[in-house]
Amino acid sequence: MTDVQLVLIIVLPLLLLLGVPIYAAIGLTGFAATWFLGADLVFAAQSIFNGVDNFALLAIPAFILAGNIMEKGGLTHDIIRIFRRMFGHIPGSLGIVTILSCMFFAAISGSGPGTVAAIGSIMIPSMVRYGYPAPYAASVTATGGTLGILIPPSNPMIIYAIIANVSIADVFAAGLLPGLLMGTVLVGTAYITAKRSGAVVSPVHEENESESLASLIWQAKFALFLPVLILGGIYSGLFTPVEASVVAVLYALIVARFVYRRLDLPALHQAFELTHRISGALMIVVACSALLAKAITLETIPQQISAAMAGISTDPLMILLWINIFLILVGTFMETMSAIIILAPILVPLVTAFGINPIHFGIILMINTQIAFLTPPLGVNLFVASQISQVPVERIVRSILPFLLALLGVLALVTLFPQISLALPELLRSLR
Amino acid sequence: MHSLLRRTQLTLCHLLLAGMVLALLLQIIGRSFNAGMEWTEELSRFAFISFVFISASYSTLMKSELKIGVLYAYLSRLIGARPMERLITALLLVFDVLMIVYCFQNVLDGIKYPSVSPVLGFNTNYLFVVLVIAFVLSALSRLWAGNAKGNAVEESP
Repeated sequence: MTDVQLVLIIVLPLLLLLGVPIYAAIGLTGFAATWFLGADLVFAAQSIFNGVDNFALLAIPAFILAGNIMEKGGLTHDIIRIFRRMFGHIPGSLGIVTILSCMFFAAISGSGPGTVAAIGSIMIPSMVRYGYPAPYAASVTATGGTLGILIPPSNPMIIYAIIANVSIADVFAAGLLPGLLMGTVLVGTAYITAKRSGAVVSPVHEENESESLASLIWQAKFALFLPVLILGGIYSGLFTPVEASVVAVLYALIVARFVYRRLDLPALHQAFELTHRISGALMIVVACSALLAKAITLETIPQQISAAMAGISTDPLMILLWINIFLILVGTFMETMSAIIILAPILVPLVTAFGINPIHFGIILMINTQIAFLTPPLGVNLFVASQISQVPVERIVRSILPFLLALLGVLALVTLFPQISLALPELLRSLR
Repeated sequence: MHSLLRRTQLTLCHLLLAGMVLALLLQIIGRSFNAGMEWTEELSRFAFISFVFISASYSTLMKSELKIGVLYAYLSRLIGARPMERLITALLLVFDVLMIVYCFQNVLDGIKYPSVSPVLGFNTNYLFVVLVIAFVLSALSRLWAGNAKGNAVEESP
């Protein structure tokens, strides 16, 4: 084993586990690897700079900003009202409303924990008020929030597409059907779980109960149009994903300020401030990961892992099975974006060597990271839901098991049937 | 000091993010009217790169960095939270210093061997000045952020 490999295997995990911020752990490891490779350390600083010198990455802070503006502008409440009107008559329906609201919000914000915070802050208190057990309310919201990764636009997908060198639009399209499938399965799980737990309470009668569905949809028309604008713009060829992200910002600003009239200057300042904090924490990891990816490539680590895997099996399905098990284990202690940034440069060459489509693999990776959102000790959605519901994480974990099983079921389906992911991008490509 | 740092970083971040969005909007408008606005792509990219590093220093000040730290709680109980904090701060300062030194080296190299952008004719090595500033701000944030409220986000968007 070379010095660089020792640094990558020992120093990086040690720094990460010690609690050194991920970007610095990756950056320090990268500097050490560069030094052992005998290269000038100026090269390390250049690699970190080049890590974000990529035009496609501009979409990420813009989507985060658009999501923050829409949330400050009061969009979330309107979406929830529509789904509550649609399903409120079904006993135990608030779990369904939560999942569907999360699905819709995810299609705007591209953020998992952001979705949990936005929807959970309204739905968890509402469910508790209607007699649902608090752990159930927290678990259904935490699970719904994971849909943000799979349903486009999704920031983790943008990063994956850049690392895997595939089209962002194709990865977005590939996530749509699995996302809808996942949403449907989770809706069913939410209903069955509510029924079994005895949490099924009477139908919901809240404000605006007298208003018709059509009226509520009409009131929320500007909010409902945003995903159509983003995805429609991208797939019609009107905008690139980067341009769609800034159009989303402009649209969100106009709607929140002039239609909803809830976005004043302090609220806009808050939306910007939150964007700086989230983007700053995230994008510096992306920057530093470029240095790590170079060290990994120079050491031919993916090729060595490929050779080792080929010794175990050459069946792509078996390879995917092993990778899924590995990702689920890693996901219990590694947060989503870091897992994608650190592991994708190793895994993408590996899977392509076995003839697996990198877009299909991207969706498998996304579902694994969804599961990672919910698995302790580091399941971030659990923490956000716990904060909102004031339910200890260990109690949420128990009630989240049926949802985890549902996610695993969808993961198995998507792994076994690549067409679930690949049908839509292929169709869209044939139409262009 | 904390307040001054925060205001400086926030102002820079506001300007850079707003500049990036505006340049991209101009690009869309320019393309719709067939106006040659190729410079907007470069400008937005430069604003974005600068934003990434300045906002990272702001995240440092607000203690919002992404971290894992499975062993941190255990070791803090074993040897105390303060030594652990000091160890991590020392490692982070080493990284800041490495970045400051080698980004500055890139600026100097850029004077000798300029890397000029095709449309604006801007020497992109000068962008490393922003990285130097960002990592100086990060280092200052670590040293003076003791009063900031911890707000660690362990997940990204």
